[in-house]
Amino acid sequence: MKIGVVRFPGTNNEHETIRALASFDGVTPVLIDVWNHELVNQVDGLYLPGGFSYGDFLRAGAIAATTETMQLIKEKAKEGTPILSICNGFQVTTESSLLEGVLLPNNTTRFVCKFIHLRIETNDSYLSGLEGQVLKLPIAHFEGNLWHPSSNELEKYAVARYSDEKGDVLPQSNPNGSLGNIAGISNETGVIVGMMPHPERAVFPYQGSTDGRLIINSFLEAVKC
Amino acid sequence: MVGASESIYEGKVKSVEDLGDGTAIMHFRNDITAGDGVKHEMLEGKGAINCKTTAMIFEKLEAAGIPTHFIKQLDSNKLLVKSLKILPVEVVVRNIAAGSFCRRYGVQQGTTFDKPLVEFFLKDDALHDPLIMKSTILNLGLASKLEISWMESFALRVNEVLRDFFRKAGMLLVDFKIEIGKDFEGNLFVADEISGDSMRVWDVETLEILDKDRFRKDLGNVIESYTEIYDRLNNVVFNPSSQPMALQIEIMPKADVPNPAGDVVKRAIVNMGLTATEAVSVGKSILITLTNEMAEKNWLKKVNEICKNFLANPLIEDFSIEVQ
Repeated sequence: MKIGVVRFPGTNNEHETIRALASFDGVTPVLIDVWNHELVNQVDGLYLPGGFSYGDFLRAGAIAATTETMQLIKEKAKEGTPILSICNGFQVTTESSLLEGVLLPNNTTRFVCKFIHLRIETNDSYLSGLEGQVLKLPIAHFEGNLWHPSSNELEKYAVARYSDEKGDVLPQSNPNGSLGNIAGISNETGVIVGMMPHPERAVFPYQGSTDGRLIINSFLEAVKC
Repeated sequence: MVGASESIYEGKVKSVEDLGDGTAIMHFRNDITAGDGVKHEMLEGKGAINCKTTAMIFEKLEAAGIPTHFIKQLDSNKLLVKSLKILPVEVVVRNIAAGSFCRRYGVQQGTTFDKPLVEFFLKDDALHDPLIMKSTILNLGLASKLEISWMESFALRVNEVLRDFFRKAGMLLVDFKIEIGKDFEGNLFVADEISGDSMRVWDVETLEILDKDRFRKDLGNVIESYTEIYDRLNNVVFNPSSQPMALQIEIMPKADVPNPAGDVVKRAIVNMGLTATEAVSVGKSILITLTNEMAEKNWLKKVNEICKNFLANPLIEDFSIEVQ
């Protein structure tokens, strides 16, 4: 199965994402750049990794959202191709209106880089098999404060919340001010998931956690179907 | 069926016939009026001289990248123009104090302003076209903030072009009036006429009056002076260069949207001694420079869409556009 890893100028998580994906049986990662984006039509699933696409100018993800590459990805999304968008990739998918909400600067006004715990919520996305599990994953972002003028729009699609290691969702486990501690959401059909935490950075024991494998595995299962 | 006569608008000195295809015929009559139509005469040749003066001036403005309603001259008294909705305010640019400005503020006639001055007047004969403030225009819904900024900016550009043109022809452009029209897509154009009827022009040496003040003040030789203006302009070589147009876009966070940057700046401002600071909102300012407006058809619609879909995120930000 081919998974496209989409790199915009300024994306910088593509190699660890490719390494992570390649550690799963039967997965061939395909690096897709803006100059060969027609490859989007030759893959079975799409992974939008993090970084600083187009220098994060204007708003994080805003410029990548205007590219022809994203137009092609939107077409694939309509056809039901599973998408996992992480960190800056998540910002690109909200700015492209593939997912609800907007990622504001952290309420701490600081870049945050640390391990957090994540509780997987009841949801209709491809992460539903992990419901109730508490995962340990790293985050590294400045604009991860998920917000929407109507909090219901986010609650409806929440797939994961920042929690403590027991899975209790507490104000002090919220690293960036996100509404309802929501760390990740899906779209209406559940084939697109976006989140700030980095599953691809928690795949090998030397990375301090391998919980990211569960998320990537769920995504790959959705691609297989 | 609508009769042809119903599509004809009769003004004090001109008639406009809408042809229904986006164009209209503007007919310059021989009427000349002053004091809101109280003083009225017919002067042979007046329609023709204003018609060709307007055509010549609008051609120069177009060459300078200023959009006008002018398409072509049809005959000695008629211009083919774009059919537009005329905004209910007219714009006056003054380089030298004269006329109502002197009466209103007690300023000596002939005083040269350091910078050209822009004034807006409500087009309403019954009210004698009163001076109107920009905030009133906005409040009464007569024009949008963007339209007001366009009018002001383009009136000054018209002034720059015409002041140079007249100066080259040995004349001082004291002041002038323009009207602004809007097409169905919201694009703006300099409309109506620009002639001896709508401006004050003095000879640069003798300060002799060459404009409609000759009629207002019964100085005589009205047509001869209007013809003099035309002939002098027609005899100089003047190639205006087109100026770039700048759009100032301001993007501000909506109220009630978390604004961490504003909160941090607020803390710093309070620390610097402005302790009464209630809130700080940090937005963005974007300046877009277009080579010239004429090169970019439908810029207004495009810029609006770009603001809505890209420069501002409608979930969290409001934007405003002004012409600089």
